[in-house]
Amino acid sequence: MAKFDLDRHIKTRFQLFEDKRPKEEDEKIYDKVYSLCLNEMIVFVGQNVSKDEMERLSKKLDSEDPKTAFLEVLEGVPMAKLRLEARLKYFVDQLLLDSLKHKNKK
Amino acid sequence: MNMTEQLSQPDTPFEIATKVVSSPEGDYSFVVPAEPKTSFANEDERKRYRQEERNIILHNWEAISKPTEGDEVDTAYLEDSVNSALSVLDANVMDSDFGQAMEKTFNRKIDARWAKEWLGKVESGDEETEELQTSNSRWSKVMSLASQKIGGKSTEGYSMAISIVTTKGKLGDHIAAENKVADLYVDYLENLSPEDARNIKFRHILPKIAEQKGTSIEELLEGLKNEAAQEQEDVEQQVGELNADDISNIELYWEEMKAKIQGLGKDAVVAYNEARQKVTENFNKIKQPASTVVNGVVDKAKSIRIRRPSDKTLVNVERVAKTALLGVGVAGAIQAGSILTRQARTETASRPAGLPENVTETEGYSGQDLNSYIQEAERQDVDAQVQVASGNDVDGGEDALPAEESQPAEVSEVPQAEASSVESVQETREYSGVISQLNERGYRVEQGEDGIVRWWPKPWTPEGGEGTLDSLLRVGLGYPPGALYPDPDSESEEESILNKFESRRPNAGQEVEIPLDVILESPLYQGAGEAEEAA
Repeated sequence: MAKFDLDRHIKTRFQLFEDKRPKEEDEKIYDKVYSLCLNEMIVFVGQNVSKDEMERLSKKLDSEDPKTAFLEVLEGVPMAKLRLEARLKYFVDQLLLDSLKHKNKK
Repeated sequence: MNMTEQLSQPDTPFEIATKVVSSPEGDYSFVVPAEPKTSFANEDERKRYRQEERNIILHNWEAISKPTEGDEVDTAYLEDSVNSALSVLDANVMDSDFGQAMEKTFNRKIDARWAKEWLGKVESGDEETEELQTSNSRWSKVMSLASQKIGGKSTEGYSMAISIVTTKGKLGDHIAAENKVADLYVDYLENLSPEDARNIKFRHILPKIAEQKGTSIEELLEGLKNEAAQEQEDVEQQVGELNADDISNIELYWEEMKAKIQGLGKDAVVAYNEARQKVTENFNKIKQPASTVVNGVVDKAKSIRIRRPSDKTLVNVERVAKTALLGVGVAGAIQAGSILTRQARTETASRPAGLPENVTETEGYSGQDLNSYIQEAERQDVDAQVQVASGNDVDGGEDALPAEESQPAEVSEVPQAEASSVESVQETREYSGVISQLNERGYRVEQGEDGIVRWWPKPWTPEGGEGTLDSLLRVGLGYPPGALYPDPDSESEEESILNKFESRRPNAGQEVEIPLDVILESPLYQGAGEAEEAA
């Protein structure tokens, strides 16, 4: 199976950098989607580690590189990569649908 | 394992080199041609070869179902065993005349094999399955809801999988349409009255839906496919018009969640606030671009494969629960044990991999995660005994840690079991008469100091069946055939006693634990008890 590429998935789903919008707008969307993905990743971690581990993550984020902090805490989570990828892929798909609904409500 | 089996015709010996393939569960071995023969010197050779192939198939069929004159064919067991074995056959064997003959011989069991493969994928947690499950958790919701509302054999994972696979087959690779079909199932099940639920099987749902809509199944599915395709087209067109302000923001996300938990009570609101605070707090600490952090973590995270809970784990969980409860009363313990086991199996079968247990999926993404987060918090307060039943799955679906590597709750349960081991031994002494009777009947059975009764099957011979589980249960312990092979179409939740064993096909000399309730509920034990009372 092909390696999952989150970045490409986001760009394809939201049709980013395809000259459909101004580049600045594409960049705004890109950053916003990733912010929400980061939020989702924290929720994922919160669901899969103990409260103590979550506390440790919180402390590490004060001083360490966040990537290292997350990777350390995810080490104890079974099949973390697989599940995180699937989770974020699903999240991005649903975010697109939610965003379209949001737009249509306006 | 490879072997050559001499097969002969009465007059003209003919050899087909065979090999034995074991089922994934190791509970059955299937004899197949080692190298299927496709070219023949003449028609006579072809005929004799076909005859021997038929003999092999017949031998396999008899070995599996052990039919005797007047017996009903044990279809459920046959199906299970054959499909299990077929799943490991080589492609060249499956493509051969022999493979095709087997397909004809076992007929619809091949469909069941597809179902089993699919279900196996769902349960295995492999990459594609994870994606399927996470992106299409609606089927999981359907299965879970059907178990709750209908129950019974038709809603056990394996049976349901056959129906779902059939539907998926009709739709082709069309996830959006699948979602729509699954939504129809959910809608139907949610509105199913208890009276109607008693008279329906899972496979009847789609025909009923079509009937309600006054159309055929084919037309219904075709309509949904067109609808989904149109929606997809609309989405594609609209995406280009999205701007950054249209993207759901964090506040909206939390507000939607908050609205969804209003009815769940004070504790849920507290848990929600804590969760929100914790996520926001951590989010705000990250100063690097979100894309750098997320991609960095996704790329470098490791996928340590943890073996999924096996039947053995479930059996052991059952035993721990039973042993712990023995001091309270044997009947209660058996009942509690069977409930715990059923619960554990149901949860394993019905929950999507990657999602925590008890996740109540709501429309779209929102709500799903908070619900599970809240339930995670609530779960910390649940009674330890309940966690023994579900403990294998605490970490979520197939990714759960094996019992020996996880779950403090389970560890804390063990001393309780040990504390009552004295009562357990006292109780088991009462069936020492049963053990001696089994020995007299030719079964090598012993009770260990730990109170566990073990059986060592003898090598199988045509004259004596003391080497088979079927024989131990039917001839040794006196169970009727119906107890071993309940009617698959029955509404009853009665489970085959065979399922209580780690393997249905233990090898000669292999140590097999006989679950306590199998002995206590056996006609042999019951009869002995009545005789003692009468005396």
